[in-house]
Amino acid sequence: MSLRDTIRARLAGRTGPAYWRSLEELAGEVGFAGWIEEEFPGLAQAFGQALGRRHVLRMIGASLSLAGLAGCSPAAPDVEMAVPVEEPGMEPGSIRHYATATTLGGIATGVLVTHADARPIKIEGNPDHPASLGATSVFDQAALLQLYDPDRAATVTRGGAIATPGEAFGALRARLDALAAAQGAGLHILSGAFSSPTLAAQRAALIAAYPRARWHGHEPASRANVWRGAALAFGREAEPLPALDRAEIILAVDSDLLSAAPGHLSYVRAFAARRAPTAGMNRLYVWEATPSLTGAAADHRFAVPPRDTFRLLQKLAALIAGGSAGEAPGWLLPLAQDLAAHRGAALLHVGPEQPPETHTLAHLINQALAAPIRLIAPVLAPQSSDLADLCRDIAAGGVDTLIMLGGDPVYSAAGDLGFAELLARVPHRFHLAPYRNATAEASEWVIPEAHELESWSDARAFDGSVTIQQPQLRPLHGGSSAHQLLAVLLGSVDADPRAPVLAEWQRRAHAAGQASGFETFWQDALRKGLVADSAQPSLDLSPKIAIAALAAPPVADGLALLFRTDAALWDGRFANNGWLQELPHPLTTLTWDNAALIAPADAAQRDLATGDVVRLAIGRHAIEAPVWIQPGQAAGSITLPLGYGQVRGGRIATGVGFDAYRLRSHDAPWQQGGATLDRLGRTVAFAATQHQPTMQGRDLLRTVSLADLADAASGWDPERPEPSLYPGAEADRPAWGMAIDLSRCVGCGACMVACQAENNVPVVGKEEVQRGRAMHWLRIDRYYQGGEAAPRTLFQPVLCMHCENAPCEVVCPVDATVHDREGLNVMVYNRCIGTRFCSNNCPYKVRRFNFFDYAGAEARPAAARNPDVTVRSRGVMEKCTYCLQRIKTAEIAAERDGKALADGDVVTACQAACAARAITFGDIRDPHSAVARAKANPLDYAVLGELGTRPRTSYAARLSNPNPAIGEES
Amino acid sequence: MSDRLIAPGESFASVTDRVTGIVFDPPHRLGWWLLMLLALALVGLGTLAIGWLFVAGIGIWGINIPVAWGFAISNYVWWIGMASGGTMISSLFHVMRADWRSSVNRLAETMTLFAAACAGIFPILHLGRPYYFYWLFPYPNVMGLWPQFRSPLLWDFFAILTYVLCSMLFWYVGLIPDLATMRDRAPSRAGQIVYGLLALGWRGSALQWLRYQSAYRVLAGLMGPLVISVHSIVGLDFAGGLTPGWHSTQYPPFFVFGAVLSGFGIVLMLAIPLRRAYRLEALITPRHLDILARLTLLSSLAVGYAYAMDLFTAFYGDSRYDHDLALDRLIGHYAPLFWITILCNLLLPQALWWRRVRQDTRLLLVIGASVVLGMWCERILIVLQSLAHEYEPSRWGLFHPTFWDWATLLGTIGLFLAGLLLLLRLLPALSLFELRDLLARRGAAHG
Amino acid sequence: MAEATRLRVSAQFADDAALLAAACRLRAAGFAGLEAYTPYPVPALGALTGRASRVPAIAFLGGLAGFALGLGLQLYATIIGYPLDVGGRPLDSWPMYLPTVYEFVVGSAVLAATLGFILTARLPRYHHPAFEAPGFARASSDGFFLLVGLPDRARYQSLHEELARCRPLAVADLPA
Repeated sequence: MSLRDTIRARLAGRTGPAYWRSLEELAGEVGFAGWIEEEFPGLAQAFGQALGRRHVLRMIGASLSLAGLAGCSPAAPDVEMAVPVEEPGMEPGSIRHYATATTLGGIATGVLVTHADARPIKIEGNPDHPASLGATSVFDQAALLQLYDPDRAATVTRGGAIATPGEAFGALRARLDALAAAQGAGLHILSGAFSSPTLAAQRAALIAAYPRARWHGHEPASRANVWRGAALAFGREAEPLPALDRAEIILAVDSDLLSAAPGHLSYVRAFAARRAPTAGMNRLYVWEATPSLTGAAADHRFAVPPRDTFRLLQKLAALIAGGSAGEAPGWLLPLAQDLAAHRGAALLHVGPEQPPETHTLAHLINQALAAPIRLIAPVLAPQSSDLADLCRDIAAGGVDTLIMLGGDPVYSAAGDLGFAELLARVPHRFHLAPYRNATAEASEWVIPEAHELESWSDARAFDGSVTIQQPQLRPLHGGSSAHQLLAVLLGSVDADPRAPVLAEWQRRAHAAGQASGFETFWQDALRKGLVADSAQPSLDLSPKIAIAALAAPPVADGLALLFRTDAALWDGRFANNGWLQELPHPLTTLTWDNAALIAPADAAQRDLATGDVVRLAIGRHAIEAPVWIQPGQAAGSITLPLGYGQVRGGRIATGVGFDAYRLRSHDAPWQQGGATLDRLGRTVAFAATQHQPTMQGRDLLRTVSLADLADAASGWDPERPEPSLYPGAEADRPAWGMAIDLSRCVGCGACMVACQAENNVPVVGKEEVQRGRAMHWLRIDRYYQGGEAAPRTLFQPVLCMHCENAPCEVVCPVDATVHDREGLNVMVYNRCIGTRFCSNNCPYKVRRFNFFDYAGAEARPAAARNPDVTVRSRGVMEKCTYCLQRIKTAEIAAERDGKALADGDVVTACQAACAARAITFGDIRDPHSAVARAKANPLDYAVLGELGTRPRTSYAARLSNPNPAIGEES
Repeated sequence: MSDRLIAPGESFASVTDRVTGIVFDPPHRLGWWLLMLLALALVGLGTLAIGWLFVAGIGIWGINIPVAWGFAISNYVWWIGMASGGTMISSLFHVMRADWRSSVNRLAETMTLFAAACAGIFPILHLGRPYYFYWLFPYPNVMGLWPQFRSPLLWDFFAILTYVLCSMLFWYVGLIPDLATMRDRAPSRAGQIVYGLLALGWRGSALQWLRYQSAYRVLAGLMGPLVISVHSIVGLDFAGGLTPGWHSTQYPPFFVFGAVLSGFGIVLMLAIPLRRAYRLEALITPRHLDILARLTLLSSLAVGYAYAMDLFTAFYGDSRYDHDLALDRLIGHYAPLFWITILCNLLLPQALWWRRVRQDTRLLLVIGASVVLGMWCERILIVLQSLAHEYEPSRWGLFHPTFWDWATLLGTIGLFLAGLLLLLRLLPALSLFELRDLLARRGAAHG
Repeated sequence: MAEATRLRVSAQFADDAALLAAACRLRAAGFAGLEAYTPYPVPALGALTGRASRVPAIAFLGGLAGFALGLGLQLYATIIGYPLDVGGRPLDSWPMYLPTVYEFVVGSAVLAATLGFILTARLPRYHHPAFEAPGFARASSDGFFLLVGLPDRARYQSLHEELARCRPLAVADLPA
């Protein structure tokens, strides 16, 4: 039985049709059986029993990416076309970076893709890019795993049967010819939100050629409310860009300012920069119905039920204007005064879930406060009609051919549209499919979509800056991009992936009369990952409406359901991504599940416990969902995270959590009132990574208010290191250390995924997480302070402290964990016999153990892993190494160039990803190094320092800046 | 008082017949086989569990982070504790010239051997990579690496190694004269040869007896301190770490107390059915049981003192970690284990203050069993509860035993039982020459 | 001594007292090469042989060797063999080495004592003239035997007379 047959046999039982098809095709295309043998001997066993645990087997990222092998074929031709960040001249084993961008909801974040031997293995932020500034989000990090995901759509199919791209494009052209006579009437195209100038141009060209064709936009997490609010206020749609670097007082209302707003990485950077006693510390007020990262970062957070938000904002406006608010909560007046007192340096930010009226009101208040906010035209290409219009057209029988560009509209359409049923009525359905998802299943023609790291395109950042996206490798599953598909529609014969993008920018160069310098422009744009001066100009707009004249939005009465994008899966597009599925949600620490978040008071009243399954119904739509009692949730509201409960679309995505889209209404996508909740008497077991909500009064995460810090009487005394009897570190070598500023950390988790990507940290699956065996080297502890109703939420990233007197080392009987000469607490994997005493003896519990052969069960192709980091075997302990491989790379480079190692030469993966710059790393011997200066901060302290472990990782106490007129606890 | 240690009317010959009869003409053949089958069934289960452990990895157990040690280590401590019973009885009381030990020490030592064997299995199995356990040996390996001698686990490794080795030698040396008896009475040629070989040609000459007694005294003198060091070191496996609830200076003696208690408990549990089944009431007399009962009571009080100190230091000291942990021990998730421990190890044994209870073999059996169970609960409690509530509340988590955890435990119980049953049919269950010695001195007493 | 003799006489006695008496009597009568066999230790008989046991001394030496080996091994391994920074502790953390040293001491002492006993008790020895004595099998149960070796037949007669006076249960000449 040849290896390939073995693989087939093993796979047959375990995977969907998409899987073996991709195998088939690959086998045909690049005789991969022999190939595996030479590249990955013993790969067959990767399909083997592996823990006998469903989920672990179903880990994507995770499970075997045969197609991923394409990535390591030495000649990945597109890479030759792509332009590296450094100058050429690449020797084997060398690391290179290529600039491109990832998009979320059509909006770009500039990234640098790290290649080892021409294989993408890691994603870093692009320092030159305004939306990244060098940092990344969890989604940017996880894009790499998405790229290597073997469950991605891999073959062109017609009605489920394999076909060729030629046939598919042929069929497209046939439809087009048939509809050409009627000027394209009956031709409908459905796309997600996009900012791509090229796609916009192609769309314009298409509509020009077929005037009666219709283009619909569908984005589950749409920002339409923001623009409509602006339109109401100023007479035209606009996107407000708050300048947090100039803001001293911030009021965020149901805001995603620090978590998900376009450009949030730059907002976090600016916000965190002012969370220090030195920098004229800002003050953040948050009103929100459901806890968010923004709320967790607040100095004052108020749980405001959605129905009250607008009314409260009106009262606030009145107070700012010097009027009276009538009956209002006690904190409203001080808040208003605080805002008014900082005219020009105070601003309001409202999240996209709030109705347009709230945004309008906020705009008007901001105007009154002369808030540091820049207004620009929305960067997303305008969508004249949406999914509802498409549904109407289908119902009217006017749709002959529907081309769906990417996404999974059948899954993500609001339940009340009944899109799935309507779609069946369309005679000709084409889907450019990222996965064999619900939409693909419902389509006649399925054309695999190339991942954005595989394709040429362009996209705008939150401020309009354009990045030209260059492919990092040849499409692993031979997919096509939307540009290619449209090019075909527009009559181009060959589907050259680059041509449309190149053509568009050449056209623009001509239009601007810079045709001559195009080549340099192009090379420069690709190298920088940014088109120079492409940011959107500010709009100078004045209010067209008075606050008084503003009508209140309809309020949702009764039990309100709040629909929110998920911190890990967003709108569901990342559902098949093992890293994100296993990323603990910042506030619940929940993995592998979503839950209906319910307020403690409501839960008590209904006698519900976390894990109880309830039936939630609105009108005739109902879903069953387990509840999670969420401290800080506004009473009378239940939050339903989107993106889970998919029935198609990959081995990981399916059967995880519940699908909130079924309850969603197209007209009120973010909140609905009048829901009913019935307890079903069933319970489910969640996989949370933290079970103890509070710190038990222990001195682990220190907090201090700016006021207390200022007056010595309250006595914040900087701590001195405990004396030790033991010999100190060697003086002739660097002494690596880390400082983490808790005032800056917003708890987003980007560091966790970055660490996982950098260090080949395996995904273990839901059951193993439930058993307390999650493998993250870096975790973020979340502690609540104060009452359940309105707690303070504190985050603390915890990784190996690299104690100078490490308790773990002393108890290891085989020298498997010892100190190196630079003060690192190193793990010698192949010396470890797995007594686990080191973990028992680690007061910080940062050690992780391979209870099973996790890495083996993952069977990610070696191509997708970091070649500089050992993949750990079963039965050995592992933990954070301070990114030892990066330290050594830097030291070798310095030695090669005969230079001394400079401060900042070594950047750990977590540090690089952190938008807040909460993590500082370096040589603590050198008093001028950033880390030494950070540790000199009077707020700096060692966790559990009293144990005499002398951790090299220290924390700066979390600083808060409460309004004395309100007081910290409220 | 020695006369109460052997029923009147017993002679050298009768004693010899009685004891060797168990081997050469065993009563209750059927019952023995039934028990043996049960034991072997358990061994089978255990073997299965271990086999699967090697195939799948120790993830099949309930252990996790933070509770990285679970049943394996608890069971190990439990078994090694019971092993101490034999050594205590035969070494300490030999040194103290306590006559009464004579008819129970063989039984106790044999029990020790298998208890120690069962204990020895766990530290190896509990490794993530058990097949590399030999890396603990200090041998010059290819990397020039040595074991890490600061680790309490390594101390423990040497302690167990030494203990098992010495126990076997001690046991064997104690057997040699009796092996000669077996040689001389074996009905079959094969038996004569085997026993003969094992007896090393023992003749019982005056010279040999002289050497023998001095050697045995030396061994007994060494075994006592050894067993105490072993359990102190087991205590240090925990006290050596800085885990709250473990990091306590009283752990070494505390573990010795516990070990001794379970040791006496298990000896009671074995001696009572044995004397009944094989009509040894004349040799293992109420007097023996009475002394064993008193010792159980004594060690129970000692353990009680340790519990009290544990709580006292926790609440009196200023470590909030110890404080929280102690409180959780009393009322937390694992509190039932604690209270069972208190009941079995502390309260029930108090009944032994009454002579009537000490005379009643049934009650003694119950109490013996209760302390054995109680000590198991205590070990589990110490390992699980402390690890489950360490310094960082965010890392608090519980341990839930799996089927394989239980299977492995039952497997070792089966092994223990099978071993005892086997030796019962192969070797004299009581020390013959010491019994003769007793008889002789009684005769002398009668002039 | 028994080796040098050409002929041996064995006598069985009722109990240890009789055996002891006989042994003393014969010894007084100047018979050398007496050997007494009892089913349990009879200290008085041991005293008659007039030799002390060297086992304790051997055990002590074993213990000393164990100490040297245990401590030496650890110091060598951690200071010279492969010095490593373990938990910031000094290389010669001798207090942490003592428990192992202790086990080395006890272990080697026990080993030494056992071997010492086996050697000084002249074991193993699977054949010995004593085994030829009629009914000697009972020597390991309830028989008390005295074995007398004679260099020649000179005192053969007197030996039998002496023995007869000790009221033995049985007397037998063993084949040379």
